[in-house]
Amino acid sequence: MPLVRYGIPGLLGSITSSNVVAASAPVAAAISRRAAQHAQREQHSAGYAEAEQAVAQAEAEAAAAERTAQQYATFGPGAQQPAPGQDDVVSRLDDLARLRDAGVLSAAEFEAAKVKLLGS
Amino acid sequence: MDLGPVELIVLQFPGQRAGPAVAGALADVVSRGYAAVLDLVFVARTADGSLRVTDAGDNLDGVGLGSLQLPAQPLISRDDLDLIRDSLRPGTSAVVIAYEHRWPQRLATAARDAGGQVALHVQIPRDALAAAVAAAIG
Repeated sequence: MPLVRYGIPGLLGSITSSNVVAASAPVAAAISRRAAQHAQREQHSAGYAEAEQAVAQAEAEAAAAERTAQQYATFGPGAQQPAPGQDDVVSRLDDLARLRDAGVLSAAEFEAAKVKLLGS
Repeated sequence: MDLGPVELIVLQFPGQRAGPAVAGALADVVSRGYAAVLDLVFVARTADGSLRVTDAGDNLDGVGLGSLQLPAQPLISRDDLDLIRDSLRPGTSAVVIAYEHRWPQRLATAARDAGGQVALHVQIPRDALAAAVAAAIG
């Protein structure tokens, strides 16, 4: 007999990208969109400024996930991704810096991502 | 709440059945006491695009998971399923499994048997983990 799955809290209501061990590109994008919706709902209970920031962060994450999804679609799962060229590294560094300035990435996360990018 | 760490995994497959090794792999870690299945849902998108949901409480023979002994406690909600529904293309399917890690309880028991205790047990956020690992190998 099917179980009743309506009107129960569920397990993924407050999920963010920080909980994700692995996700396919479309699911990662769906998680980011959900995080944005969750942040908007929280607006009523949380301080307005904090909620605004959370929404902005979640939306930026969603946009980043969409970009990843596009990349994924371009190269296809399992396809060999070309090594990033010099221009690519610079533009990705720019992206990272913008994310840091927008408060999406902490300074430590920015440094870590930069090290990874330059090391690749 | 007497539960260890709980995770949720979604395994996606071409076709309308779970991969042949899934049930065996799951039964193996459960029988060894490493994990317990808390809830399981199988979702398939048929060739015409409609969604077919097979529940832990249903007969799972038809989707290749019939050998599993599963508790019927609804933890996974329709909202949870919506998260993966849109990524399912026609003719593909997915099994959603909520499972508990049981093996840390053995460590806890070992500590208590020695007169000790679990002072802290946390799950590390992925972004913190990524930053720490990147710094360690940098």
